[in-house]
Amino acid sequence: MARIDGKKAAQDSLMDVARLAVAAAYRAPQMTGRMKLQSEIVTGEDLRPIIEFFEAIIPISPVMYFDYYSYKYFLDNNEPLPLLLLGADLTKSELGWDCGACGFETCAEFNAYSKNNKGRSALWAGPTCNWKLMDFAAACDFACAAVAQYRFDGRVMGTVGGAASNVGFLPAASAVVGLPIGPVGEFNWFSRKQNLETSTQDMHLKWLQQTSPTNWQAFPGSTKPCTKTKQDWWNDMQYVKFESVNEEEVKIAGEAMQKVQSVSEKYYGKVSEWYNKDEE
Amino acid sequence: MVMEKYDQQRGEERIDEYPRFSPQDLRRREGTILAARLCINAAMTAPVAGGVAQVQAALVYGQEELEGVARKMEELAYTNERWKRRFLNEAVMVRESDAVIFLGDYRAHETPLDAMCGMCGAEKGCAFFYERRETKDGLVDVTDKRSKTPIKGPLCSARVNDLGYVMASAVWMAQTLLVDARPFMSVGLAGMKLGYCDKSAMVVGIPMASIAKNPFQDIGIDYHLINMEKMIDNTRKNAVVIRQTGSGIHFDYRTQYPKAEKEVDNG
Repeated sequence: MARIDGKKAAQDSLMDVARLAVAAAYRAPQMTGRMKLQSEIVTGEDLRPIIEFFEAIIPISPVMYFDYYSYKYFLDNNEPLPLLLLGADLTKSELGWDCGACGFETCAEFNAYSKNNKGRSALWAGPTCNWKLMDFAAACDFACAAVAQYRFDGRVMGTVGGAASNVGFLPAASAVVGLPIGPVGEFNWFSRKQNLETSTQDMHLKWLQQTSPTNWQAFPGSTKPCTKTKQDWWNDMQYVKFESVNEEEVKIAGEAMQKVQSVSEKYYGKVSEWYNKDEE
Repeated sequence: MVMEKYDQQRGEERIDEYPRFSPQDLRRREGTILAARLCINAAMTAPVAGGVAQVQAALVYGQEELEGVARKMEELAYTNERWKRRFLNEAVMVRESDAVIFLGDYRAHETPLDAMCGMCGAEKGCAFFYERRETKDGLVDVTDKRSKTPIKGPLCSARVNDLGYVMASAVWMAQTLLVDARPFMSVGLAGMKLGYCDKSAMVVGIPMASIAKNPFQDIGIDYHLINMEKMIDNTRKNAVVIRQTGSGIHFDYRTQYPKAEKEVDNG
């Protein structure tokens, strides 16, 4: 005779699904047959470096602000969350197809440019061979589909992949995405109920206004259309202004990037060391 | 009276995969075409960045239509030595398939994600993309279709990434329905050149089939020469010739039959 708490049983199965999802990713169809998938499952306290990275980048990334509170909430509330990381190095083409999708006339030119100009932006590194990229995306999609097939919650994210990559996970990959599996419950990632306390109505309004102001708030009719930013928008009218980033904003961004850099330096060596051991 | 329509819902259907394009084969293909429609639905609901609609699809079936795709692939095969063998092999697979899905991304070249993800060339403000395309104040002008390469790049890699998700969701659905399907660059390129997914700068093709042997696996050497269709065609040729060179020309089948050697010996 045995009695098992249902919620606990469901939580225990998260890791099983993570394992099956990564197996599905390796089973995904490839068009090139050249894409080498890299993968890892991270959970528990090993998620802390990623969460710390999110925290550092908040001032310049509202999206990672949402992720920060989600991941932190689940870890702090002891809801173990396996994060499936999938990555690949897509900055080299062995294909010789010379298709032009990358912007170069030949794969050789692409490879030469990549060798000397490889760089990293907000999330990932480039340039990228588009056909290998599609194969990589197919692997990620198969992982997602496997998770969905088992009716587990999850959401494939570039943000968490970028954060993980910046603190040393999958160091040989130019692109990394993260697929959190679970926690148990309905819509943890698409309607983040756990995030309610982290933002006020005013913050939501500000984000909407700053994201796409003229589409839904413009009062057209003059060359200086006011924007309906409040209930009595006709009093003390407000306008969208176009101006360069000011010194204060540059300073805030610079400070955030410094903090991001220090989090990255703090963890990168330690986290990426794990792969060296693996190779021995 | 209204119920009479249900009396029409009866019948008998013979289904077989051979002979090809016979009525019983065409009935079988209907199932694959239905599955292909579901695969397109799966593709349309695949997870993409920001959930932005960016995919157009085409469904192609029928003997002449599939032959057209295969021939375009053979034509393209000879434009690049590196992909020649692959294209020729895959043209055979298209001929053996029941239907082909084309999936294209119509934003990859014109309305990029603008997220500074870094995949296309890791330059600030997606400048790698914008600097290499015809633009006016950040608006991409795609009216000039001239290109030295089969695909006019660069493309927004985040959108191409999404097309990968779209493609794999279609294949996942096919596998769930136990219909054989495999995505190909060659099929997609041929489809694009034929005008399928005409708004897209990058197209992938997924032939599908529900026959005993998966047409997209276990491909032998010189497959464009040694495959079932070619073997059958050679059999058709030889079966006629052997009546004249092997057996048949030396007796009148109505009244004669050659004797066995034993019978000849015994007189």
